[in-house]
Amino acid sequence: MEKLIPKWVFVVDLNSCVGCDACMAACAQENQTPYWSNKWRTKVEQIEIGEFPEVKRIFFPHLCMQCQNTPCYYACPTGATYKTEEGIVLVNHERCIGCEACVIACPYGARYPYEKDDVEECEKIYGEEAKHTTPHIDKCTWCYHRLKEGLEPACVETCPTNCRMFGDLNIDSYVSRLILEGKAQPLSPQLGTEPKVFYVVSKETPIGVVSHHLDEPPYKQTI
Amino acid sequence: MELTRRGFLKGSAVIGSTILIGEKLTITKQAKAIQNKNIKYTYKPNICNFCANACGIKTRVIEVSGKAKKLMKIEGNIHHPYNRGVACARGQSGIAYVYDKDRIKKPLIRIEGSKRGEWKFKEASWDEAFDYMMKKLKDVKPYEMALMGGWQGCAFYGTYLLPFVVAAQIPTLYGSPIQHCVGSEHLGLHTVFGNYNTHDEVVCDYDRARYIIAFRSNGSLAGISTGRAHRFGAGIKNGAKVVVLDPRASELASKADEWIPIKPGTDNAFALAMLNVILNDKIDGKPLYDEEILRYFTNAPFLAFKDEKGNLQLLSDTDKDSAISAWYVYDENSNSVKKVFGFYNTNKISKDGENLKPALFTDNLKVNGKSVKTIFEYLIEYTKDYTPEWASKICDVKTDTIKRIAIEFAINKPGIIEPGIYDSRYENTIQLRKTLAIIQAITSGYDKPGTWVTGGSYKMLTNDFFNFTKKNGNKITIPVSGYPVIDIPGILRVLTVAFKYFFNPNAYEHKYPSIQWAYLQTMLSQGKEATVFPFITDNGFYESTRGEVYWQGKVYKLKAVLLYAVNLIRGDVETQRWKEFLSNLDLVVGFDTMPSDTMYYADVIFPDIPYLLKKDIIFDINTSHNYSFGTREAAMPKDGEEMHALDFMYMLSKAMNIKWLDVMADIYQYWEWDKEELNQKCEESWQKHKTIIPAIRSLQLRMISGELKKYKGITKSVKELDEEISQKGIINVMDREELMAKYSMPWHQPVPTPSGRMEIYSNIFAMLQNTFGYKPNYDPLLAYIPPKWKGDNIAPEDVKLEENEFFITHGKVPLQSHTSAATIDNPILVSIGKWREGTYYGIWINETKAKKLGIKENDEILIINVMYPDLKVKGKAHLTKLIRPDTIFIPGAYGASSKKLKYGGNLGTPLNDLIPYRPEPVIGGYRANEFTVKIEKI
Repeated sequence: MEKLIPKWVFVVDLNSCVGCDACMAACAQENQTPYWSNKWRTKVEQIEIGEFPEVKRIFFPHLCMQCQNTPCYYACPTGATYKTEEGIVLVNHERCIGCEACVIACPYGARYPYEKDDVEECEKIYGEEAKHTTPHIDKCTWCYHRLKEGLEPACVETCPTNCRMFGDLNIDSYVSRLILEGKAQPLSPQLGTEPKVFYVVSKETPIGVVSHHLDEPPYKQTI
Repeated sequence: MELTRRGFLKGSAVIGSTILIGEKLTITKQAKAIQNKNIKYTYKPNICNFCANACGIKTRVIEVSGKAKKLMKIEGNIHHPYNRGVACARGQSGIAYVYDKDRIKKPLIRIEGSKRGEWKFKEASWDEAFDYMMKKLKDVKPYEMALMGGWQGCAFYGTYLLPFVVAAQIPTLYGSPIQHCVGSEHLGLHTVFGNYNTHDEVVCDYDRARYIIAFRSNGSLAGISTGRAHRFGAGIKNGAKVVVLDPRASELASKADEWIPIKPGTDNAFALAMLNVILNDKIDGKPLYDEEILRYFTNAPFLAFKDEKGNLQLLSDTDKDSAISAWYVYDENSNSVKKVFGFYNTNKISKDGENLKPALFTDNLKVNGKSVKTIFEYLIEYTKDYTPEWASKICDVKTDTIKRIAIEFAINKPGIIEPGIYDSRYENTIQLRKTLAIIQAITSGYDKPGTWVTGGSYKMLTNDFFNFTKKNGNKITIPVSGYPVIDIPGILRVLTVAFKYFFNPNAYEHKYPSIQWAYLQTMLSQGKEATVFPFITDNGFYESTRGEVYWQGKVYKLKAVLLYAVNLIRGDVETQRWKEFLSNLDLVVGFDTMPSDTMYYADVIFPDIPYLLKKDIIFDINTSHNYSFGTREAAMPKDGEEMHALDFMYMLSKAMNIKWLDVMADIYQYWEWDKEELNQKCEESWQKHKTIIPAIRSLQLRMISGELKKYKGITKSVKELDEEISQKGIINVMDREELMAKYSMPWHQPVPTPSGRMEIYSNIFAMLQNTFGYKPNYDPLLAYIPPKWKGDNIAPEDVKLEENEFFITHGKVPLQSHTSAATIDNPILVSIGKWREGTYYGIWINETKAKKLGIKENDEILIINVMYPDLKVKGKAHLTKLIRPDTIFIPGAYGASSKKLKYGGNLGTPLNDLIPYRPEPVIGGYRANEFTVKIEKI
C-alpha cells in the first residue's frame, strides 16, 4: 500500500491554557530563537475582555498557521520560502535576502527577522551547534526536524496542560476528531488562507475575540 | 486521551538511546559534522531542581565521538509518574543555568578586611576553604551553630540532614519553606489528614474530579506545579467545574468557570459559611455531608466535654506511658457508650471487637459524671453563626453565591478543594486551611479517585508504621517511641522530631534546646507571646545575636550558620533584619550555586553541583501516586570544583568527628541500612571516587530490589536496577490502582494523625491548647480569625480605605520559584518575563482606579506600608482590569538586588521588604498581606 503523506494539524484548546509559557521556553531552545532580542516563533498572548468584575483573562497561544493557501510563500521574491510535501512552510536561510515581504504578507504576524546581532549571539551560546549562521527571516516550522524523527513539536511535547495538541488528519484521533467535528476552528477564516492551526474556544471566548486580537496594536507591536 | 495524543507519532525517543540528527538540516557546518557520523544525541534522566515539585526530566546532550560535549535541551521524562513527560518554562530552562557565567564553581573566601555584603571574595582550593571554616568553627559549640536550608534541602536531602544535625548535636535547624511554603499554609490541612512529608505527599486526582475549588492557590496549579497542572488540564477537558476565589484574576482564575474576586484575606469567612451550609442544608431530605465517612473514619463521633477552663476536650483513657489507649463513642447498635482504639483507621469496631455504629448525635449523655456531646455536635454548634449572610458582608460575595457553591461542591462528587501553596498569608491562613480540609473530608473525602490522593511511597511508609502500631496495642505515644524517627509518616514524624530533638534540652550532652525553643521560653518567662510550635522556623535567630535569648539564665547566642541553598535575605521578611543577623555572626558558611543576595553575607562559599551535572542518590517519589523511585544522572562531567551536598556532609562529619552515618542507620531505616556496611561502603567509595553517592545508591537499590520481589515477585539484581534507573530515571514498584485498592487512607490504614482518623477535632491543636492556653489560632475544632488590616480592634467590614490606600495580595507566577537565584537569573525566564513586563515585573493596579489617581502604565511608584511606614518598596505600575479596585497585587520572588546576577538582578519588586516581621502564633507564618498600603507616584 502506498504510504499516505501526513496531513498534519495543530489544535490549541484555549480552555486549558494557563499561560505558563513552557511552550515559549521550549521553542526558544529547540529552535535557538533570539529570546535575547525578545523575538519568538510562538507566543502566548494575554487578553483582558470586559470590565471588572465581569472581566475574563484569556491566554491565546499562537504560532505559524502553516496556511494551505500561503501568503508568505507567494510574497517571497527569491524562493527562499518553500513548502515541504507535507505542506510545512520553511525558509532556506541562505537564499533569504531579508526583504521582509513575507513579514508584511503574513496576516498572523508569524515571521520576524533573525538579524546579524542575533546570529552572533546564537553562535556565542550554541557554538558549533548553532542553527542560525546567517541572517534571515525566521518562522515557526512546527519543529519539522522533530516531526521527521517521529517526535511532536517541542511546544506540544512540553505543554503542561495539553492545551497544544498535534495530529494527522489521516489518522483517527482526539485531535482529528476535534477538527472534523467542527469543535476546533481556524482563526480569521475569511482571509481564505486555510490555516492548519485550529482553536477550541468556549462560550465566553468566541473565536472572534482572539481573531480580532491579532489586528490590535499591542499585538502588532510585540512582533 | 493522553495516549491517543502521544501515540499518533510512533517511535518517540527512548531515554538513554541515541538518535542521529535528522538528514534535512540545511546548515553547512552541522551537515559536515554529521557526515563525519560521530555526533549523537543522548538523553540523560534527571529531576528538576528549579522548584520543589521535583518533576522528572531528561537532558539532551550532544556527544562527539562518545564524549558529552554540550547540553542542548531539556524535556519532560515520559516515564515519570508525576509530570508524565511535560515540563514548565522553568523546567525547560535549566541549561542556561548550568552555563550561567554568574554561577559559583570554585570555593570562595571573603577577603580579610572586607565587610559582609560587599562581595569581596578570592577563589580558594577546597582544602584552603575547608580549613578556613574548620579553624573558625573550633571555638563554636554545637548549640551555637545552626543549619539553615531552603526548599532544596527540604525536598531532596532533609532525611539525610536531620541525622547530621542529630549526630553533631546541633539542636537548631531552619527550613525556610516551613514559614513560606508549607507550614503556615498546610499545617491546617495536616492537623486533619496527618500528612506532612515534604513537597508533597498529596497530589490531587484532578483528572477525575467533577468540581474543583481553589482559594487563591495559583502556585499549586497554574503558577505552576507541572504535574498538578497536567492533571488539572485533563480535569478541565473531562468537564470539571472550576471555581477560583482570588482578589485578582490569576493564571488559575483564567481557567475558572466562575472567578470570585473575593475581598483579600476574608476566605476564612467564606469557608466557614460553606461548612455551615454543608452541615445544615439538606437536598431531598438528605444531608450534604457524608454520614458514613463521619461516623467511621473521622473523630466526629468521639465524645467530648468542656473542661473547667471552657476548653473542648476529648474523652479518653491514657496508659502508663501516656499513650491514649481508648476514645469514647456512643454506639447506636447497643445504645451504649463504647471504647475504640487509640490509634486506628476506623471506628467500626470497639476495643473489644464488637461491631459499632457510632452516633453523630446524642441526647443528654453523661459519662463518668461529665456531660458529653459528640465532636460533630460541637462542630454544628461552633459554626451556627457563620451563615452565608454573615460571610457575605465580610467577603464582598453575594449570599446566594456562597450558598450555591457550598451545595454544588457537596453534591458534585468527587470534588477537590485545592490544598494550596505559596500565596497570600494571614493570621487566619491555618484555620482557613483546616476548615477547608474538614469540608473536603466530610464531602468527597480523601485518598479516593477524583479527590486528594496520597503518594505511593507515603502509603507504604504508613503501612509499615501501621503494622508496628498493631503490634503495640493500636496506640501510640507522642513523641512516638520505639520506632525509627524518620520512618514515622506525616505529621507524627514532625511532632516526634520536634519534641525529641529540637524542643528537648535533654536530647544532647550540652543540654541546650534549639534557639527557637529557648526563644519561646524566654518570651513566656517575660510574659510575652511567641510562636508555640517553632518547628525549624526562624524565630529567635535574630534576637539571639542581639543577646536577647536566654537558656537557664544564660545568654544563648548563635555564632555560626551553614546556609544550604537558602536565600534568607530575599526569602525571609524584613531584609534589613537578616542582613544584621548575618553581619553579627562569627561565621557564615554558604553552600550554593548562585551568588544570591544572601551569599553576599558569607565568609566562605562552597560550590554545590547544579542538578543537571549531578549523579544523585535515589529518592522515593512522594508526588507519585505510584510506588516508585527516581534519580539524577549527570548529563555531563561537572565543569568546576563543585561538590554534592552529602559529600560535603561526609567531609564535615569526618572533620568534626561525628557519627553521621551511624545515626542515619539508627533513625532512618527506610533503606534498611546496615550500620557497619554503610560506613564501610561509603568510606571505600570516598577513597576511590571522592564521593559517597555510588555507595548509598547501591544500598538503596538493594532495598528496592527487595521491594520488587516482595510486592511483585520480580527478581532483579542491583546491577540490573542500576542500569534501568540510569536509563529511565525511574523504577516503578507498584501502580496507583493497586495501591488505592490495598493501602488508601483512612479506608485501609490510618492517616498519621495522633488518632489515625481524619481529625475534625485536632489532637495536635489540643496539645497546644492544653500546654499554652487557648488561642483561636489553634482552636482544636475551628475558629474565625478576621483579617487585621488595621490592627486587632477593627472588624474587616468596618475598614475604610483612603483614596490612595489599598489592600495587598501577592502570589506565585509560573516563571519563578520561591526566591531562587537560579531562576531569577535565568536568561530565558528573564526574557519571557520581560516580554510580559507589567504582568510579572509590575505592580497590578485596577485600571479605572489608577486613572483616578493619575497613575499610568509603567509609572514609577512607591508602595508604603500604612501600619509600618518604614517599610516601603519601589515598583512600576501595571494597569489591569483583572483586579479589585481596592487591592494591589505584587508577584512574588522578584526584586533580587545582587549585582552578581547579570540577567535578573534588580528586576521587579522585592515583596519581602514590605512585609513586617510579625509571625503568627502557631508555626510562625508571616502575616504577609495583613496591612494596607498607600501608593505614591515618584
